[in-house]
Amino acid sequence: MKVGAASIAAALGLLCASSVHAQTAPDKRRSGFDTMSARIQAMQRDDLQNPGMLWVADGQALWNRPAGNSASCAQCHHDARQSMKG
Amino acid sequence: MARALIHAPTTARKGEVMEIRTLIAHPMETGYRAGADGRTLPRDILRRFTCRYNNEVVFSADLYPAISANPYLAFSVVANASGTLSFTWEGDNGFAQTESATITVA
Repeated sequence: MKVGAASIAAALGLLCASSVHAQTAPDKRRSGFDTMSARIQAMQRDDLQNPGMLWVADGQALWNRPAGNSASCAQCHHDARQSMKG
Repeated sequence: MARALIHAPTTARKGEVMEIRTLIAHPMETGYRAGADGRTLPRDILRRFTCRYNNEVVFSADLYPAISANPYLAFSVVANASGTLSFTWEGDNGFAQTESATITVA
């Protein structure tokens, strides 16, 4: 029993130490960008090849389109290329 | 009307090689993929791309199911005269879209 208690105490001590260490450990998460090949990274960086820019163009059209009967975003928030502040 | 982005120069010197890059939003459904219900989704692809320079075909391409969604095409055109570059995509289910860009040749 004494050996059992000592080993439990030691395990608890280790646990406490590791939890303290986890609070100060650096963030190990990585962006998926790091796992891409160089060719795909270049494609993503190039605005003319990145397919996401098609949806950015969609957003640009939505910014200027009147929403039903009310005004479009552009009428109060002006040109989004400068600032979206109203 | 699918969203299309075209990068073509607005001015060029005579005889200069212009690099034109086009990107169009299209799902390019191969006809082999299964949807959520397990049935294969029907084929819906772009078939042909044509670039006309002052109504003369300077570049064309046949596209097949192997081309992935949102096809990106880059090609070169020699600048001869000022005028209009028109880009036409034709595909399944009567898809047809034309975009144009003007070019001024010095």
